[in-house]
Amino acid sequence: MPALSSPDPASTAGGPASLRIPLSQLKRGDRAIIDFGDLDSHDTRLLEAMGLTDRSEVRVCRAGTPCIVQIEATRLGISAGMAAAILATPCSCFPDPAHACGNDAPPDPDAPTS
Amino acid sequence: MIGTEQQASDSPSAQRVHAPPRRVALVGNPNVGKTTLFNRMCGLRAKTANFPGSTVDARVGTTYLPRPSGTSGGATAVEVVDLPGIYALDLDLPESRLCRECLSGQLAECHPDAMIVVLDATNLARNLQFLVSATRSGLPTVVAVTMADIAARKGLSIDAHLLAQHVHCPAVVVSGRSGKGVDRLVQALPDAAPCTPTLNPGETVAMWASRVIEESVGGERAAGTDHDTVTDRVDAAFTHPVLGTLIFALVMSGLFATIFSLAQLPMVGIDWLFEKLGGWIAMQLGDGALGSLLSQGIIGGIAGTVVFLPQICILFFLLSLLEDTGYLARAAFVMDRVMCRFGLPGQAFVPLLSSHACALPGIMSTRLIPDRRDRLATILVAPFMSCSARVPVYVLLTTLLFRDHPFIAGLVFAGCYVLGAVAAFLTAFVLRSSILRGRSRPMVLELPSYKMPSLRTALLTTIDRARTFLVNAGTIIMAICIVMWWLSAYPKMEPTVEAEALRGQADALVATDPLNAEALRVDADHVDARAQSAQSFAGRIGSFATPLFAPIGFDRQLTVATMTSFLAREVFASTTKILVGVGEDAEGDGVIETLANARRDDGSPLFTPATSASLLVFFVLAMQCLPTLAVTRRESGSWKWAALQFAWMSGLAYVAAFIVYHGLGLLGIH
Repeated sequence: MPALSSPDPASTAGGPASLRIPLSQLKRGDRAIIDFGDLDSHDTRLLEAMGLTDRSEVRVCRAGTPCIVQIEATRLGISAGMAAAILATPCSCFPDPAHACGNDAPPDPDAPTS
Repeated sequence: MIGTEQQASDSPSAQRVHAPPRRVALVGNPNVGKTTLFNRMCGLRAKTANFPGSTVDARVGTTYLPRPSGTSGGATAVEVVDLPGIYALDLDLPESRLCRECLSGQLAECHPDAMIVVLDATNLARNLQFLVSATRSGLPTVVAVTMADIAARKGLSIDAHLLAQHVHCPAVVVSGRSGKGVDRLVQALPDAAPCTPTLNPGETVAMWASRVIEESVGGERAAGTDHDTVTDRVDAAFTHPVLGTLIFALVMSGLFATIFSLAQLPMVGIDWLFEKLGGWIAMQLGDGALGSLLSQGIIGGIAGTVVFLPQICILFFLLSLLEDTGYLARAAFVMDRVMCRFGLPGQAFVPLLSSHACALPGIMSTRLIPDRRDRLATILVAPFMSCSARVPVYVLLTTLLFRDHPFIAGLVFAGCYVLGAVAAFLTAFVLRSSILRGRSRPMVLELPSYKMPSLRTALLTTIDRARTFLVNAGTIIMAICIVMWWLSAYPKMEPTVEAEALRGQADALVATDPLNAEALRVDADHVDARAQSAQSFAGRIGSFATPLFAPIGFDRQLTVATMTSFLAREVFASTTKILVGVGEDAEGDGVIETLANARRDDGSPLFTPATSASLLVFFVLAMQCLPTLAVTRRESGSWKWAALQFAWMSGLAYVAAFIVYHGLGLLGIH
């Protein structure tokens, strides 16, 4: 998994803590790095087995609740409760989106710098 | 190399199983084409198996391994166990538990000597990680890579030789749909070897999987991370809150309208066949007890159930096609929005959908739901969903109500499913707001790629369901039919005074007015038949309980039919036919015709519109299934939940039927 280009002391590996938002708040087409947050161990293990691992990059195919995200070749429909519990940092929020989210992450000129 | 069938083996020869395995387990993620491959390997030589100690079904079939050239004897039979699709072996879910116990040899009657791990070529990253966890069982393994044709269309190439080198066991590219590579897969079974993926120092399984993909597929980024705009667009419609719900309603309405249209002709054929068979037996054996038992009890009873086989077949055929396309997963996604409002978890969709086939597997599959309150709520409402056993009753009553309007009959038929679902959701809401108050556990659901459905898989699924239905009809239902025939045929009554008087009048008229004489004889027979029916054991039982059911329009005959169908709903039509058909002419009429002309003891029509509608609503909502109550008790761990389920469903059914019967009466419909 790609590492953050410039670690922020106030961040975790899932992205800068202040920029993390619930998965349900991402917009269609957004790419983001996942943080399982306070999900319980059963949900975490199930998501991992289905291909959605902590710190993995997802693309939002349907925004809102429930939402659909794509991780590599897997599309997952995630219910409102779980989408609200999973946190995500939009790739556009990283200082270097291409490095943080992969080469095909969309560049965002408005991305904050640290 | 791209998308071609290949077999490769790079495992150390010392570890290989050169003797052919006797039993092979087929394991893999859901939606990887495992069952399609199983069907291709085993065809009709398969059946559903319940392993002792497990509530999850698996399919077991037989495939044949050709003898190597130069050896004598025929093909070697290999038993194939199609285990349920799972995402991981270590999950606390019944499917995972079944696979774990089967592969480790802990499950009675499921001791595989080898396994085939099925990998989806379009999703190798996740599937390779599953392979690593599966190989911890130590079983000799052959890897089957499916969906290579779809991968090829995405520009992915699968090199089975390189893949085999990485996993150290044979790897074969197969297509369950076309059958390509399946022979090679079967022939590779004697070469099965324990897979031993070699991880570099410090390398995680995910990193290893990425490396394998890079070296044997052509780069991790090629493995499906790019946009699939077609899927995006189709999903945008199918999963849209409004459009998706509308499409779901249209698909379901179309499904049921198709069932009605296509099933009519074969139903008439089956009806005709059984009618002729019953008539022939009656002619051969006469009016004695044996002839009556065979022609009216057994043939008549079985006909009343088997006549609905076409609907069962078409329903499961179409559902299988829909599932195969990938649409049903989208339907589950759309339904989650609805279900969470009633306090049901998204995972409840699968048990509730399964309950449309039969509440028993539906209730058993609630083990997928980890939260106990969620599970209990789903168990308690699952029997509201219209199971296949209700289909014969729905068909019978909607046909009786709208004989000349098949389209309206189709809509009412679909409405029965809606009514059951609405009752389920409202009940769930009541439960989750009262005795089962608490937060729902959220759903996560894989949305598989859209595919052309496999006709072969749909046909084999249909045959399996039809076989189960017929076995049921030939055992439990036949037993109930025999008992019902005996209860309604005994004790034998002497001809009534009224009937004898009518026969006397007929004798007097036979020379001058033979037509009227014949009509009087028929009337006399009907009078005797009604007297026989009223004084029989079944009639006496019905008379005792009739006051309870009279307020919802049921007479003695319908009361008996309703009470006996508590054992199994689908016997309602057969039981009613036996009850109203006793004593009628040997030739008899078809099931629908006989029931449409059936009379009450007072001579008024039995199936009036109000009574038919009341019966229909009663059967949509009532808990008319003893086995379901037994499974509810087992799955909930207490008889109190089964008692609550019975009391709630029966009470709701009674109240709803009462409202419909008297509501129609107020509108002048009797």
